Amino acid sequence: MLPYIGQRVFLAIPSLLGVSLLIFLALRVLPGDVALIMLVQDGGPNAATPENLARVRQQLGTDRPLAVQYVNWLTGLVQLDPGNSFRSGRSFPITLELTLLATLFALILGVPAGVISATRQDTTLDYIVRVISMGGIAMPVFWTGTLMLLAMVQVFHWLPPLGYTGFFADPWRNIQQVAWPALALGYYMAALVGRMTRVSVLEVIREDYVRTARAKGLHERAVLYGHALKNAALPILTVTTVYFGHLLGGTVVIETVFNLPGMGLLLIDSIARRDYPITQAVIVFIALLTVAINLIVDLTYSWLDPRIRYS
Amino acid sequence: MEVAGWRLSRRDVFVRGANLGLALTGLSFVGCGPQPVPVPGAGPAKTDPAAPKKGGILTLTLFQDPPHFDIQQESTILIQAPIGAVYSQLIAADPMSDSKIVGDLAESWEVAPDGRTYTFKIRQGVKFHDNTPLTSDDIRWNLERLTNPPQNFLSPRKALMSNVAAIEAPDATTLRISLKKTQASFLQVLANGFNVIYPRAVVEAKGDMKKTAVGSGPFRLKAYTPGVSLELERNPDYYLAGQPYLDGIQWFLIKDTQGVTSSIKTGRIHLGLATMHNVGPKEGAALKQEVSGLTYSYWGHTILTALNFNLNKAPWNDKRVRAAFHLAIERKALIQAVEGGEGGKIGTFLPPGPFGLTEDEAGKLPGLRASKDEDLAEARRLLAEADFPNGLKLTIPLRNVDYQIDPMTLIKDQLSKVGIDATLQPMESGAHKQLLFSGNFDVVFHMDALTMVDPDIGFRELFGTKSGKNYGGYSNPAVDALLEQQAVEPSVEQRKKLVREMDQIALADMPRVPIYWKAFSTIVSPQVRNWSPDLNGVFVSPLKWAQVSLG
Repeated sequence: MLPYIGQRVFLAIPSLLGVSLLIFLALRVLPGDVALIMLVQDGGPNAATPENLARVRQQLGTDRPLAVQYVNWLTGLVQLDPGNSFRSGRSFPITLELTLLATLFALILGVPAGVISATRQDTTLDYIVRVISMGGIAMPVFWTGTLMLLAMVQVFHWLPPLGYTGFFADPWRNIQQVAWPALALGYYMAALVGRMTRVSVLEVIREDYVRTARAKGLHERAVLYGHALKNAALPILTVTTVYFGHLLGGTVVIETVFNLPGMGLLLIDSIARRDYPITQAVIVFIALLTVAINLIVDLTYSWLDPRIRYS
Repeated sequence: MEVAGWRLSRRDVFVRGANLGLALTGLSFVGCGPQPVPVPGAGPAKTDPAAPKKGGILTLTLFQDPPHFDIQQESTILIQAPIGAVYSQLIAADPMSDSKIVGDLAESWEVAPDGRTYTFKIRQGVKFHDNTPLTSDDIRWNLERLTNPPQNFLSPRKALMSNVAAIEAPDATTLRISLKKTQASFLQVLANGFNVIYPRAVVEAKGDMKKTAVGSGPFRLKAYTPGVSLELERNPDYYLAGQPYLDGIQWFLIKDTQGVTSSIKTGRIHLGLATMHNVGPKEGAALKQEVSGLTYSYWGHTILTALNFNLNKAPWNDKRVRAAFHLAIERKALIQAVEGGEGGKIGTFLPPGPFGLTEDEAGKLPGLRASKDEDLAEARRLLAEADFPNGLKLTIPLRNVDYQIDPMTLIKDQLSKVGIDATLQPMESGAHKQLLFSGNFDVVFHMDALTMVDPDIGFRELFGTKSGKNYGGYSNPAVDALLEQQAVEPSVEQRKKLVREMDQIALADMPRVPIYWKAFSTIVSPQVRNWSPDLNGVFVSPLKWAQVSLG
């Protein structure tokens, strides 16, 4: 098992390096002198004196050759010093909580829906579930979120408490703030998970061992969850991983709609302010998260299906 | 497996786990619904107007994170707005009346007969939030730094203090400021919201106040979470008895317009700075319909919306061409359509106020008056005379925001009636600012918020030779001379005459076309009492914050 884990971890590193290089170069290509914009925004036109410009450029490191900048930045990242902001540290737990909760909702809503759909194939219930999941896939996440907000405000005259309170500081307030955006995000993913579950379970249900299990006299629930689902789990897990990336992208929008100060909002902010260090750091963070999730799921495969471990 | 005496199969664990998960999911939404929240539509408080209710936390919206905490070094109100309540000033705008000035740390003051020496009597027993005493020397030291900034200290308003000859604190109860010449606007300058008093010891220890907020004001800084919120709490040792009335003030960062309107509708926010959040009069009217008792108020028409011409470039150096633009624009309809009527006022180069013309007076002048036929004909004639008989084409850059694009779209249409074919060029704020300050433009649309309405500051920065907001390069010695004259004129009446004369000369020169004076607007919940900015439209003095109450 260990060599397998080691191998996967080792293979993740080049992906990360590649992403970081790509992001680094992409941002350097953008027009506009960052130093000038930063100075004028903070101190007015008179602040952009040649000395100040030189000072800011030195701080940002934009006066050195590209390769040197890249290496410096990379070493800084590895030491967890992405540039200059204490905001990035604070925003990460928020996005993490949001995505985890959204994934939880997605699995809790999606898997049973998919199973119901599969076992009652072509009945009214199946059609209803399929329509709802089609809605989830078709509706953009920000639209679902905005609709949700509108409904809350117009119909219930209620809005989640402003700001963000950590879960351990005030769990109730925290849940009130995070549950709804997580639901909006989770709905989208639940739809995808549900459809994949349906397809996967349909396939598995026709297998011989399921017929055997039924013939043995096992309760239908045992057959479904004990045998069918366990074998259908692999594709569902794949879908979850693949769409986790989408989920992270969705957090950017959902955080703006619900005003949660997470990494998504930070990303948008930093791009608007041409704050390169933060933008780069956040994107690399997202890449890291995606690679990590992929890694974890890879390892979960090998635990779920021993055949993979030894291949 | 065995757990607490129960025999659980794996299936059981899975099933019960799933059930629990579902239940938890369900539970997390129960009670996430309507909670009792103070309903904004409760109507005006029926308590005795003279007795404000004590307690409560006022919630407001922030449109951007303050870049740091050092008010003195900043030129925008980004920092002053949320943090101003933490400090005190020497003198400040009277909370009860826009146009007067009262003492804050100064109990009273005297002006010498020659108008060049101001002697302030300093309040005793004032303490900073770290319990150190505030002395006249602290005040002297702060004002000295603003006048003669040391290295590493940026004083954006240094020019305003250039007339100060000496600042002395001969004893604990006295502060004396001597000027080089009399300056009619000196008290206004001193009272502006950026002149907060820092504790000298703290500044010397920390270098600057960018990361610290220790003052002597009615509120203390409680917590700041960047990107989320800024919280202030009451200062129990504030020197005005019984004040502040509020327990605290919370500023929440909300970036988008929808977020602000939703928060106001649901009572999460008491007060929103509508202009900054792009909540225009239409949204304001809609909000007022939904929440009874809500006010959408306008403060200080001190933002000059204008077309700025590059006076060093042809054909913009031809006064006739500029006048044609001025005559073609129909202001009344514009203000009605874009600013909901009240949000804009017609005027010349002086904002509506103690010096400016009233709307009636301004409405008699060509270009500004309601009837357009004569003006349009005159505009066409002037253009023909200036060698543009078939009109002219140009591109007008502006900021890529609704509140600039909307009026300019209408103006473009109005200009086309005299043959001026304008193409709008919306651009991003940073780029627009760079363009303005570089001077490399033809005609630029801009909304200039005056630093202060007093003509010595407001008019000077717009029209004084080489001053900060004189983008087009206007220079008229007659105007400069009058600027100097009015600055030292002691009689208010006489000063008004000089200022009006200055205004007329500049209007005849038409270096920029004044479109209208725009006001800052705020949305205020009915429970909020006594909140208002000063006559400059932007500063809320610490004295004012101390008097705000909820109910």
